[in-house]
Amino acid sequence: MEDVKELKDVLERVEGKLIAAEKMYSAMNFALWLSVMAFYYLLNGLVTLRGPVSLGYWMVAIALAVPLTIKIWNRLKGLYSTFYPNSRRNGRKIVILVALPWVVGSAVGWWVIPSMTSIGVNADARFGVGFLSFIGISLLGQWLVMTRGRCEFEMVPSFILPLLAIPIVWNMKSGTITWASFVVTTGFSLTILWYLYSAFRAIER
Amino acid sequence: MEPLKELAKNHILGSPIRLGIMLYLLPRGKALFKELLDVLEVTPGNLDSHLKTLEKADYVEIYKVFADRPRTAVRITEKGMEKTGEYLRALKEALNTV
Repeated sequence: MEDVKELKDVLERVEGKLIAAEKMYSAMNFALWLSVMAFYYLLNGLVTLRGPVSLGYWMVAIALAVPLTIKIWNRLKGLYSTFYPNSRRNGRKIVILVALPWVVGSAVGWWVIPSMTSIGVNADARFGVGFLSFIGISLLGQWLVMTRGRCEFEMVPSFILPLLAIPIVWNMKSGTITWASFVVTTGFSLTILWYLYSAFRAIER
Repeated sequence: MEPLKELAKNHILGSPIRLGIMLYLLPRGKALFKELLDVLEVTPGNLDSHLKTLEKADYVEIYKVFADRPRTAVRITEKGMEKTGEYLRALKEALNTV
Protein backbone atom coordinates (compact mmCIF):
# COMPACT_ATOMS: atom_id res chain seq x y z
CA MET A 1 0.00 0.00 0.00
CA GLU A 2 2.95 2.28 0.75
CA ASP A 3 4.26 1.73 -2.81
CA VAL A 4 0.88 2.62 -4.31
CA LYS A 5 0.78 5.84 -2.28
CA GLU A 6 4.30 6.72 -3.42
CA LEU A 7 3.41 6.03 -7.05
CA LYS A 8 0.29 8.20 -6.70
CA ASP A 9 2.42 11.03 -5.31
CA VAL A 10 4.88 10.74 -8.19
CA LEU A 11 2.05 10.74 -10.70
CA GLU A 12 0.50 13.81 -9.09
CA ARG A 13 3.82 15.61 -9.23
CA VAL A 14 4.20 14.69 -12.92
CA GLU A 15 0.67 15.92 -13.58
CA GLY A 16 1.43 19.14 -11.68
CA LYS A 17 4.49 19.80 -13.80
CA LEU A 18 2.58 19.18 -17.02
CA ILE A 19 -0.20 21.55 -15.89
CA ALA A 20 2.48 24.12 -14.99
CA ALA A 21 4.01 23.77 -18.47
CA GLU A 22 0.58 24.32 -20.03
CA LYS A 23 0.04 27.49 -17.95
CA MET A 24 3.51 28.81 -18.81
CA TYR A 25 3.01 28.29 -22.55
CA SER A 26 -0.32 30.12 -22.30
CA ALA A 27 1.38 32.99 -20.44
CA MET A 28 4.10 33.04 -23.10
CA ASN A 29 1.50 33.46 -25.83
CA PHE A 30 -0.07 36.46 -24.10
CA ALA A 31 3.39 37.91 -23.38
CA LEU A 32 4.24 37.63 -27.08
CA TRP A 33 1.20 39.68 -28.17
CA LEU A 34 1.68 42.09 -25.29
CA SER A 35 5.22 42.84 -26.47
CA VAL A 36 3.99 43.25 -30.07
CA MET A 37 1.49 45.87 -28.82
CA ALA A 38 3.99 47.59 -26.53
CA PHE A 39 6.61 47.72 -29.30
CA TYR A 40 4.09 49.54 -31.51
CA TYR A 41 3.87 52.37 -28.97
CA LEU A 42 7.62 52.34 -28.46
CA LEU A 43 8.09 52.86 -32.22
CA ASN A 44 5.27 55.38 -32.29
CA GLY A 45 7.25 57.58 -29.91
CA LEU A 46 10.23 57.57 -32.27
CA VAL A 47 8.47 57.82 -35.63
CA THR A 48 4.83 58.66 -36.23
CA LEU A 49 3.02 55.49 -37.20
CA ARG A 50 -0.05 56.54 -39.12
CA GLY A 51 -2.17 55.10 -41.93
CA PRO A 52 -0.24 52.74 -44.21
CA VAL A 53 2.87 52.74 -41.96
CA SER A 54 0.76 51.60 -39.00
CA LEU A 55 -0.93 48.98 -41.18
CA GLY A 56 2.51 47.85 -42.38
CA TYR A 57 3.71 47.45 -38.79
CA TRP A 58 0.74 45.24 -37.90
CA MET A 59 1.14 43.15 -41.04
CA VAL A 60 4.83 42.51 -40.31
CA ALA A 61 4.15 41.94 -36.60
CA ILE A 62 1.35 39.46 -37.32
CA ALA A 63 3.52 37.66 -39.90
CA LEU A 64 6.29 37.29 -37.30
CA ALA A 65 4.16 36.53 -34.23
CA VAL A 66 1.60 34.13 -35.72
CA PRO A 67 4.18 31.34 -36.45
CA LEU A 68 5.35 31.63 -32.83
CA THR A 69 1.75 31.43 -31.60
CA ILE A 70 1.24 28.33 -33.78
CA LYS A 71 4.37 26.79 -32.25
CA ILE A 72 3.11 27.50 -28.72
CA TRP A 73 -0.36 26.27 -29.71
CA ASN A 74 1.11 22.95 -30.91
CA ARG A 75 2.84 22.45 -27.57
CA LEU A 76 -0.41 23.27 -25.79
CA LYS A 77 -2.28 20.78 -27.97
CA GLY A 78 0.13 18.06 -26.84
CA LEU A 79 -0.32 18.94 -23.19
CA TYR A 80 -4.12 19.17 -23.50
CA SER A 81 -4.19 15.68 -25.00
CA THR A 82 -2.53 14.43 -21.80
CA PHE A 83 -5.31 15.70 -19.57
CA TYR A 84 -8.39 15.55 -21.73
CA PRO A 85 -9.23 12.44 -23.77
CA ASN A 86 -10.16 12.94 -27.44
CA SER A 87 -8.77 16.50 -27.48
CA ARG A 88 -6.31 15.51 -30.22
CA ARG A 89 -8.98 13.82 -32.29
CA ASN A 90 -11.09 16.99 -31.99
CA GLY A 91 -8.05 19.22 -32.70
CA ARG A 92 -9.18 20.46 -36.13
CA LYS A 93 -12.69 21.18 -34.83
CA ILE A 94 -11.24 23.21 -31.93
CA VAL A 95 -9.02 25.26 -34.28
CA ILE A 96 -12.09 26.16 -36.38
CA LEU A 97 -14.12 26.95 -33.26
CA VAL A 98 -11.33 29.20 -31.92
CA ALA A 99 -10.96 30.95 -35.32
CA LEU A 100 -14.71 31.70 -35.43
CA PRO A 101 -14.81 34.30 -32.58
CA TRP A 102 -11.71 35.97 -34.05
CA VAL A 103 -13.50 36.31 -37.40
CA VAL A 104 -16.63 37.66 -35.67
CA GLY A 105 -14.52 39.95 -33.42
CA SER A 106 -12.60 41.31 -36.43
CA ALA A 107 -15.80 41.97 -38.38
CA VAL A 108 -17.51 43.74 -35.45
CA GLY A 109 -14.42 45.60 -34.22
CA TRP A 110 -12.79 46.70 -37.46
CA TRP A 111 -15.77 47.00 -39.80
CA VAL A 112 -19.23 47.24 -38.14
CA ILE A 113 -18.43 49.67 -35.29
CA PRO A 114 -16.06 52.05 -37.19
CA SER A 115 -18.65 52.34 -40.00
CA MET A 116 -21.51 53.26 -37.63
CA THR A 117 -21.35 56.99 -38.43
CA SER A 118 -24.99 57.62 -37.43
CA ILE A 119 -24.53 56.86 -33.72
CA GLY A 120 -23.21 60.32 -32.94
CA VAL A 121 -19.81 59.54 -31.38
CA ASN A 122 -16.59 60.78 -32.97
CA ALA A 123 -14.40 58.65 -35.26
CA ASP A 124 -11.68 58.32 -32.62
CA ALA A 125 -14.16 56.87 -30.09
CA ARG A 126 -15.59 54.48 -32.68
CA PHE A 127 -12.10 53.25 -33.47
CA GLY A 128 -11.33 52.73 -29.74
CA VAL A 129 -14.62 50.92 -29.13
CA GLY A 130 -13.98 48.81 -32.23
CA PHE A 131 -10.55 47.80 -30.96
CA LEU A 132 -11.90 46.87 -27.51
CA SER A 133 -14.81 44.94 -29.07
CA PHE A 134 -12.40 43.07 -31.34
CA ILE A 135 -10.22 41.95 -28.40
CA GLY A 136 -13.16 41.35 -26.04
CA ILE A 137 -15.33 39.29 -28.40
CA SER A 138 -12.42 37.28 -29.84
CA LEU A 139 -10.89 36.32 -26.49
CA LEU A 140 -14.25 35.66 -24.82
CA GLY A 141 -15.10 33.24 -27.64
CA GLN A 142 -11.67 31.61 -27.47
CA TRP A 143 -12.01 31.20 -23.70
CA LEU A 144 -15.46 29.60 -24.02
CA VAL A 145 -14.19 27.13 -26.64
CA MET A 146 -11.00 26.26 -24.80
CA THR A 147 -12.32 25.86 -21.27
CA ARG A 148 -15.74 24.32 -22.08
CA GLY A 149 -17.10 24.87 -18.61
CA ARG A 150 -13.87 24.00 -16.78
CA CYS A 151 -12.93 26.35 -13.94
CA GLU A 152 -9.99 28.08 -15.66
CA PHE A 153 -10.23 31.80 -15.15
CA GLU A 154 -6.71 32.99 -16.02
CA MET A 155 -7.82 34.34 -19.40
CA VAL A 156 -10.76 36.32 -17.98
CA PRO A 157 -8.93 39.68 -17.37
CA SER A 158 -7.77 39.73 -21.01
CA PHE A 159 -11.36 40.08 -22.28
CA ILE A 160 -13.34 41.35 -19.30
CA LEU A 161 -11.32 44.60 -18.94
CA PRO A 162 -11.69 45.53 -22.64
CA LEU A 163 -15.43 44.76 -22.54
CA LEU A 164 -15.94 46.79 -19.33
CA ALA A 165 -13.99 49.72 -20.80
CA ILE A 166 -16.29 50.06 -23.85
CA PRO A 167 -18.82 52.46 -22.18
CA ILE A 168 -15.98 54.69 -20.98
CA VAL A 169 -14.27 54.87 -24.37
CA TRP A 170 -17.64 55.47 -26.03
CA ASN A 171 -17.90 58.84 -24.25
CA MET A 172 -14.26 59.92 -24.60
CA LYS A 173 -13.46 62.93 -26.75
CA SER A 174 -9.82 62.18 -27.68
CA GLY A 175 -6.92 59.78 -27.05
CA THR A 176 -9.30 56.82 -27.08
CA ILE A 177 -7.08 54.39 -28.96
CA THR A 178 -4.10 55.00 -26.65
CA TRP A 179 -6.28 54.53 -23.54
CA ALA A 180 -7.97 51.46 -25.06
CA SER A 181 -4.53 49.98 -25.77
CA PHE A 182 -3.53 50.50 -22.14
CA VAL A 183 -6.74 48.71 -21.06
CA VAL A 184 -5.82 45.77 -23.29
CA THR A 185 -2.20 45.67 -22.11
CA THR A 186 -3.40 45.78 -18.47
CA GLY A 187 -5.79 42.88 -19.15
CA PHE A 188 -3.03 40.88 -20.84
CA SER A 189 -0.56 41.62 -18.02
CA LEU A 190 -3.04 40.41 -15.39
CA THR A 191 -3.70 37.26 -17.41
CA ILE A 192 0.06 36.55 -17.66
CA LEU A 193 0.43 37.12 -13.92
CA TRP A 194 -2.49 34.79 -13.17
CA TYR A 195 -1.14 32.08 -15.50
CA LEU A 196 2.29 32.24 -13.82
CA TYR A 197 0.71 32.11 -10.36
CA SER A 198 -1.33 29.03 -11.41
CA ALA A 199 1.80 27.43 -12.89
CA PHE A 200 3.74 27.78 -9.63
CA ARG A 201 0.75 26.52 -7.64
CA ALA A 202 0.58 23.47 -9.91
CA ILE A 203 4.30 22.76 -9.38
CA GLU A 204 4.03 23.10 -5.61
CA ARG A 205 0.91 20.98 -5.12
CA MET B 1 -10.44 -3.44 -14.68
CA GLU B 2 -10.30 -1.39 -17.90
CA PRO B 3 -7.38 0.85 -16.86
CA LEU B 4 -5.36 -2.17 -15.78
CA LYS B 5 -5.98 -3.79 -19.17
CA GLU B 6 -4.91 -0.57 -20.87
CA LEU B 7 -1.66 -0.53 -18.88
CA ALA B 8 -0.94 -4.20 -19.55
CA LYS B 9 -1.53 -3.69 -23.28
CA ASN B 10 1.06 -0.93 -23.61
CA HIS B 11 4.42 -2.69 -23.73
CA ILE B 12 6.12 0.42 -25.07
CA LEU B 13 5.51 2.66 -22.06
CA GLY B 14 5.72 -0.22 -19.59
CA SER B 15 9.46 0.45 -19.35
CA PRO B 16 10.29 3.19 -16.80
CA ILE B 17 13.06 4.58 -19.01
CA ARG B 18 10.81 4.86 -22.06
CA LEU B 19 8.10 6.46 -19.91
CA GLY B 20 10.74 8.83 -18.53
CA ILE B 21 11.79 9.81 -22.07
CA MET B 22 8.20 10.52 -23.05
CA LEU B 23 7.50 12.50 -19.86
CA TYR B 24 10.61 14.61 -20.49
CA LEU B 25 9.60 15.24 -24.10
CA LEU B 26 5.92 15.94 -23.44
CA PRO B 27 6.20 19.58 -22.22
CA ARG B 28 9.35 20.35 -24.25
CA GLY B 29 8.48 18.82 -27.61
CA LYS B 30 12.11 17.91 -28.36
CA ALA B 31 15.45 17.24 -26.66
CA LEU B 32 19.05 16.42 -27.51
CA PHE B 33 20.29 12.85 -27.04
CA LYS B 34 22.93 14.21 -24.62
CA GLU B 35 20.27 15.99 -22.57
CA LEU B 36 18.29 12.76 -22.17
CA LEU B 37 21.47 10.92 -21.18
CA ASP B 38 22.09 13.41 -18.37
CA VAL B 39 18.51 13.47 -17.13
CA LEU B 40 17.85 9.73 -17.19
CA GLU B 41 21.35 8.68 -16.11
CA VAL B 42 21.56 5.74 -18.52
CA THR B 43 24.32 4.57 -20.84
CA PRO B 44 24.32 5.79 -24.48
CA GLY B 45 23.71 2.24 -25.73
CA ASN B 46 20.77 1.74 -23.40
CA LEU B 47 19.19 5.08 -24.33
CA ASP B 48 19.72 4.41 -28.03
CA SER B 49 17.97 1.05 -27.74
CA HIS B 50 14.96 2.59 -25.91
CA LEU B 51 14.74 5.44 -28.42
CA LYS B 52 14.76 2.95 -31.32
CA THR B 53 11.85 1.10 -29.70
CA LEU B 54 9.94 4.37 -29.32
CA GLU B 55 10.78 5.36 -32.90
CA LYS B 56 9.60 2.02 -34.25
CA ALA B 57 6.28 2.51 -32.44
CA ASP B 58 6.06 6.01 -34.00
CA TYR B 59 6.10 7.70 -30.58
CA VAL B 60 9.23 9.78 -31.36
CA GLU B 61 11.29 10.92 -34.35
CA ILE B 62 15.08 10.84 -34.23
CA TYR B 63 16.90 13.41 -36.35
CA LYS B 64 20.19 15.28 -36.64
CA VAL B 65 20.78 18.91 -35.70
CA PHE B 66 23.84 21.13 -35.81
CA ALA B 67 24.44 22.56 -32.32
CA ASP B 68 28.18 23.49 -32.36
CA ARG B 69 28.67 20.04 -33.95
CA PRO B 70 26.27 17.45 -35.43
CA ARG B 71 24.11 16.04 -32.66
CA THR B 72 21.24 13.59 -32.37
CA ALA B 73 17.91 15.05 -31.32
CA VAL B 74 14.55 13.49 -30.50
CA ARG B 75 11.11 14.93 -31.18
CA ILE B 76 7.82 13.61 -29.75
CA THR B 77 5.17 12.75 -32.36
CA GLU B 78 1.43 13.40 -32.19
CA LYS B 79 0.86 9.69 -31.63
CA GLY B 80 3.47 9.74 -28.86
CA MET B 81 1.70 12.61 -27.08
CA GLU B 82 -1.67 10.90 -27.36
CA LYS B 83 -0.42 7.50 -26.19
CA THR B 84 1.50 8.97 -23.25
CA GLY B 85 -1.61 10.88 -22.21
CA GLU B 86 -3.72 7.73 -22.44
CA TYR B 87 -1.13 5.81 -20.42
CA LEU B 88 -0.97 8.45 -17.66
CA ARG B 89 -4.74 8.60 -17.41
CA ALA B 90 -4.98 4.81 -17.22
CA LEU B 91 -2.24 4.71 -14.58
CA LYS B 92 -4.03 7.33 -12.48
CA GLU B 93 -7.36 5.52 -12.81
CA ALA B 94 -5.76 2.18 -11.92
CA LEU B 95 -4.12 3.67 -8.83
CA ASN B 96 -7.41 5.19 -7.71
CA THR B 97 -9.09 1.79 -7.83
CA VAL B 98 -6.44 0.12 -5.64
